Order: sequence, then C-alpha cells, then structure tokens
Amino acid sequence: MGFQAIFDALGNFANLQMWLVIAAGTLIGLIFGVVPGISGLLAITLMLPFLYFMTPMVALPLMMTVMAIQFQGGAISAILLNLPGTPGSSATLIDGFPMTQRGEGGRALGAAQAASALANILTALVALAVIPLILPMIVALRSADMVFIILLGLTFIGVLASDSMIKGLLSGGVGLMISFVGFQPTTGAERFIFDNLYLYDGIPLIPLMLGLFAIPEMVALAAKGGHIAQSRVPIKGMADVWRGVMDVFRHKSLVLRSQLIGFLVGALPGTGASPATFMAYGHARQTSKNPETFGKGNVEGVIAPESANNACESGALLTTLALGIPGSPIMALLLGVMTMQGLIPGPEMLTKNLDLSITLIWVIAVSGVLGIAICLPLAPRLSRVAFIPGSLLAPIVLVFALTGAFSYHARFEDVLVTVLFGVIGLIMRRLDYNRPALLLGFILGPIFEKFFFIALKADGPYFFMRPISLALIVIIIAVIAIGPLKALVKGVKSRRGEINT
Amino acid sequence: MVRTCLRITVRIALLALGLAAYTQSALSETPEEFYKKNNVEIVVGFSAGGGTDSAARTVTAYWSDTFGGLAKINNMPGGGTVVATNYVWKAKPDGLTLLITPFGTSLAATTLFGAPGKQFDVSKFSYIAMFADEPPGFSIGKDLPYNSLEDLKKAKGLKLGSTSAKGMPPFGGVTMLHLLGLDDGSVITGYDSAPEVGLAIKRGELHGMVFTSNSTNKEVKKGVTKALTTVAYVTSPLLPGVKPVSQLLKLSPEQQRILKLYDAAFKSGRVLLGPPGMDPAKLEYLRTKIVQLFKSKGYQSMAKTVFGYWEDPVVGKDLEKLVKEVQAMPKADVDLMNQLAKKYIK
Repeated sequence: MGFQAIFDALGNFANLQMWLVIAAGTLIGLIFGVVPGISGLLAITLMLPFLYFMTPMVALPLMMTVMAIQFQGGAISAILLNLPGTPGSSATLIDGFPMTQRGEGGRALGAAQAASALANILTALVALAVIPLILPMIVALRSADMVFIILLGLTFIGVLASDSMIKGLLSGGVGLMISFVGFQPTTGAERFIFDNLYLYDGIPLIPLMLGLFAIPEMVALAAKGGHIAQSRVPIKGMADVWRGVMDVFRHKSLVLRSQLIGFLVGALPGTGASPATFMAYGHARQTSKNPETFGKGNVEGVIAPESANNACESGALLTTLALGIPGSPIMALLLGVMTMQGLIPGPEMLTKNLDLSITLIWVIAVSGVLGIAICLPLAPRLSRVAFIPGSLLAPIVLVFALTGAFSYHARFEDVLVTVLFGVIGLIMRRLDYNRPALLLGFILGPIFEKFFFIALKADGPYFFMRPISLALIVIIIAVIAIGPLKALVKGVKSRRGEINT
Repeated sequence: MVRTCLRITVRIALLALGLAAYTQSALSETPEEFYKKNNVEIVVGFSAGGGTDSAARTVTAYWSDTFGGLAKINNMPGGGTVVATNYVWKAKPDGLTLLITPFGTSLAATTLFGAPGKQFDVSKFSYIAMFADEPPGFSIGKDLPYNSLEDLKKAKGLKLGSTSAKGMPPFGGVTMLHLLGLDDGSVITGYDSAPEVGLAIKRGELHGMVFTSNSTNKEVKKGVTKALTTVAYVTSPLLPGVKPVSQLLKLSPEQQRILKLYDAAFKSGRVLLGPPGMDPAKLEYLRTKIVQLFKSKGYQSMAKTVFGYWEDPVVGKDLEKLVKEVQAMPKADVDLMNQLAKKYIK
C-alpha cells in the first residue's frame, strides 16, 4: 500500500462536507446507541433510501461513523442502567453497572469513552498497516480452526463463572440450549419450534438481552426503593470522569491486548462484536491482579470490552472490504450500499478504490475523537442518573426496554420474550446464577455449532488434526489451566511463607 | 313531534347522500389517482442489506417517478420468508400492501417441498411481475484440474458449498451432483453467504458452488472460481461464454426430470405480488405501469449496477403461467428430488 493513497485519503477531509457527514453520523450513532434495542443497525436501515442516492464518498463515511460510534452510546445505557444499548455493549455492564451502584458511574463512563475512542483511533491506524498480513491469515483459517477459536470463547464461561463454578457452568449450558432453538441451517433440522413460526429463527438476541439484564435490575430497584447508587457518595463531576480516562492510560497493556482480541475476532467472518467483547473481558479477568473484584465493579472490566467492541468493527471492515464477507449485520448493510453504488467489495477495494477504503478507515479514527469530545463533557450529568429515585426511574427504563424490544422487528412476540427473560433474569438474580454466562453461551452456541458441523462434514471426524487447530487446542488447555495453576502457585508460596515464619 | 321526525329524516337523508357521494367518488377513483394519492408498503422477507432487499429498493427508488405516491420497504425477516408471505396473504387486498420475494425459495419451493407455518396458497396471489431473474451458475475452484463438466465426472468426493439446507443453492448442488453422476459427492450447507462459500473454496475446504449468476460472476472476478455451466436451459448474460448444462451433458430421462424440476422451482427472479382478491383494475394498472418503471432509463442503469445486467420482466399472466407450471410438477419428481437431497446434503 503506497503512502500516496494514505495522503490522498486524508485529502478527502479537507472539505467541509466530510466533516458535516461525520458530525451528523456521530450524533445519530450516539443517540441510536444509547437507546436500547435500536442500535446503529436500525439507524442505517432507516437511512438506506437516502444512502443509495448519495455519492459513495458521503454515504459510506456516514455509515462508518454511525457504526463506529454506536458502542460509545451503547456503553452509556449499559453502565448507568444495566441496559445494553447494543449487543456489543453486553459485557460492559458486568462491571460498569456495579460501578454505577457504587457511585462511580462517571468514572466508568470516562473509562468506557476513552477506551472506545482509543480503540477507534489506534485500530484504524493499525488496520492500514496490517492489511497485507491479516488477509492471508483469514484465508488460512478453515472452519475446523474456527471451531477452536469459538471454543476458546466458550471457555470464558468458566472464567465468568469463577465465583461459583457450578452455577456459572449451568447458566452457560442453559444459554447454549436456548441458542439451539430454531431452524438449523447446516442440518436442516427444526428444533424446539413447536409449530410456532416465531421460533423458526430462534430466540432473538436483543429481546433476550433486554429481558435478562434490564428488567431484573429495575424490578429490584422498584421493590427496594432508593436509587441505583447504593450509597450517597459525593459526585465529583468531571474529576470522576477524568479518573476513568486516566484508568485507561494506567492499563495501557490491557487496552492494547483487548484491542488486538477485538480486531482479530472482528476480522474473522461470521463472528461479530459480542464474542470479542466477552473474550476480552475474560482475558482481562484472567490476567488481572484483582480477579476477585471482577463483576463487582472493576474498571478493567469496562476497559477491556469497550476496547474490544470498537476494535472489532475495524477488523470487520477489513474483511468486508477485502473479501466481500460481512462480519456483522451492519457490514451486510454496508455491502448492500456498496453494491447499489456499483462498488465491488474484494481486491478492487484495495487497488482501484484504495483511497475510498483508506478514507473509511480514517473516518473511524476521526469519529472516535468526535465521539469522546461529545460524550466526556456530558458524562458528569449523565452519571447523575444513578441518583434518580427508583420509583421514577424504573417505570421509564422498563418502558424503554419493552419498546426497544418491540422496535427490534415490530413483533409483539419480542415483547413477550423480553418479559419471559425478565422473569428468568429475576429468578437468576435472586438465586445468584450467572446471567453473563448464559448470554455468552447463547451468543456463541450457534457460531460454534455452525463451524463444528461444517468442519465435521468437510474434513471428517479428525478435522482437528491440523497445525492451527492443534495450536489452538494447546491455547485452550493453557487458558483453562491458568487459573488452577495460579492458585496452586499461590498456595505453594503461602505454605512456604508459613513454614519460613 | 312530526316536525322532529321530519328533521331527523332530512338529516339521515342528507347523511346518506353525503355518504353515497363519498362512496361514489371513491369508487370512481381511477387506479392512477389512487396510486398517486396513496403510499404503498412493500414487504420483504429478509433483513435490510441482502440481495432481495437491494432488489426491492431498486423498485422503490423509482416508484414515485412512475406512480406518484411513495413506496416504503417493510423488512420482515423470519421463517425463511414465510412470515412475510403469510403477512401479505392475510393483508387487506386494497393494493397498498405488496410483497417482493424470490420466486424459487419463497413461492415454488415452499409449495413443492412444504414449509413450517405456511398459510398461503401460491395460486391465489395477485401477481404483478417478476424481475432480476438470473439462471444459477455452477463454478469450481480456479486451481482445480478440471476444465469442463466431462473432466469433472472423474472427480472423487466433490464437495459443493451452500448456505441454508433449503433453497436454490443447496438444491442446485444436488442437481449438479446428480447430473454429473457423482455418487460420492456432497453438498455442505451452513455458510452465511456466497462470498463465504467462495472463501471456503479458496482455502481448499470446498471444491465448488451453485449460486445466482451474479454471485458466481463476483467470485469468478475475484479469481476464486471458474464458471463451468449454468444449471438451466439458458445462458446468463453475466457469465459470457458459459453454456447451459442442458447443452453440455447428455442427460438420462431421470436426470432431465430433475433439471426440469430444479429449473421450474428454483428461479432466482424476484416476484412483486399482492394479496389474493385485488381489484382487477388496480392489478392491471400495476402490471402496466411496473413495466414502464422497469423500462425507465434510471431503473435500467441502477439494475445494471446492482445485478450487473437488465432484462425484460415477466409480467401478469406469463408469471401466473410459471406458478401453474410449478404446481403441475409430478409428485414422483418432487419425491425423487427429496431423495437426492437426503443423499447429497450432508
């Protein structure tokens, strides 16, 4: 890739129109990201009739901005209300919401926004450099290898469940089972449909997610009274937010590792942002000096998924542009618009239309800067949500959750699913079962199954006898063993200490 | 008392007159005025961004130029288009709710092979037109040592990739394996899209695929595959120099029956239709004007960008004839296709 193309692409930012497009996309992405159920995907779908008639240099940057910025909006509702604004923000709430309950919502928001913006900027720059490296890697990975990459993600159920292994594994298992409802495209089997057409496509993710997390918290809040923040800690306004921003720079290594996980998983076709965020979260917990504080409001648990979900979209963009394979539903829309504009995704995007491809990557970086410029000053005010009386907040959030579920596909059944999983979530909360583990099982189940069946059919029962697959198996064993090994070493050390004293 | 009765009678009479005048004006409204005044909802059984959604959006983009009113897309994914088709089946036949759906996967295949939750009878819809019909292309990995169908007959364990276990691509694979007589071949389903199948071919996981000419053409242009034939009786403008399988292979009577069934049941063309019982005047008007839309320069230019080519649509009665042909397919042939699907789709 020539430097000339990079500078030509930068030249596109010399006109006011491009900045207006990015500013408009940033606002739209933030608003649609914050409101649960109506992620950037819906925003872009609504814009489609107009996008087709815009020039590629307007339509595609507008889409990219909405896509890149939605997670910054999604993190706000996840952290403050336990309502994941987008599926990619679902891991953020595990530690983000407990921070809000502790009166540290501003800090969590600061960390999330800084991690997101940094991911947008850094991975955009990295994307430019790694195009020649990443494509051969994607081509080299067969379905058999993908089985073990997803299995690696599934092992993080164990990490999420480390407080209570049995309950966590049970929750993850139930999540997997729920994910098996519907028509199985690899085998053609119809499972647990009960002659109900709604179940044909399986249980939808967004209504399940809204029910599992938003409803139990709000019902509990309404029943308990008071407000989300459990203690009346003083709000330090911008100082709290800056503390969160500085947390990101204090955990530089974690930020980079999470971005790498997000970027690589995003670049793999057919995975999406949610697995990447959980993998980054699990990795953060495993490598943290204080793993026991995860799930109780550890800022590292916010930084890791927010770094990963934004990095993920940069990776997905590469695969979409270079191979024409959409890594996420938004990328499928991007492909649709490109087709309407007469642009053929594939090698041409890296030769004939290289300046457009690089412009899109720059747009991710610029929108990251704009997003943080808007969100950070708002964060202190937003964090006051934690001090709104529950009697006022709970009905509003419940209405948002249910309308969000309905707006997903305008189906009443989605509202019922939200309510059903709200009840399940409430029971799980009361009995201390692990809701994130259930979600992770639900998200990874269909992807694992897809690659497993394809690998089995294409390569037979010994599909794992490939160097990459075997290497991945070794990594999985290491990931599973790292916790017990750490505990063993710690135990040996403490015993030695006892003997010495 | 009499005066009150009179007053009431006069009021009722005036109201009746008003209603009659309104009804008359509504009845005398021409389809042209109707579609100028009203907006149309076009239901699509897929999420936004896919092939059928893009095809529908080419129509809505030029709808107001032709009809005056607007057309809005309503994406209603679910049940492999069954949810959307059921919805239009039950919609009020006022001509304002229409469906754009693939002929093969959505209408013909569900009729011949069944589909869970299906409530509609394809013979009763109000058919307007079918457009963007491209014969499926069969392509194999560019580096494979086979350059013709005759060469390919020697292949061992040929693996063809597909998306879902139902629809045009997997049954295309089944048809090709049967026509080539490759008993040890298989169709591996579950990939998300044609480009993903292309990637699997590139990395050696699969050997070939059957997809629309447009998708086949894209993989050929990327240098991933080489097109060997169209799984049809006709050539495709998107695959120049590629002959149809009916000309390239000498087929047994049984193989001919399978190709005929596949060709009739798995057309990729997108059908624009309305609910059963639409006003014949409105239906005729839609049929006439939609041809005008499809022949407009703007639409043709957009179609060439999106589909890579433009062809005359199949309209009205001709389309109804195609539906009848599907319904008349012998059950024995359908059963045979099902048996072959069980054999090849692993």
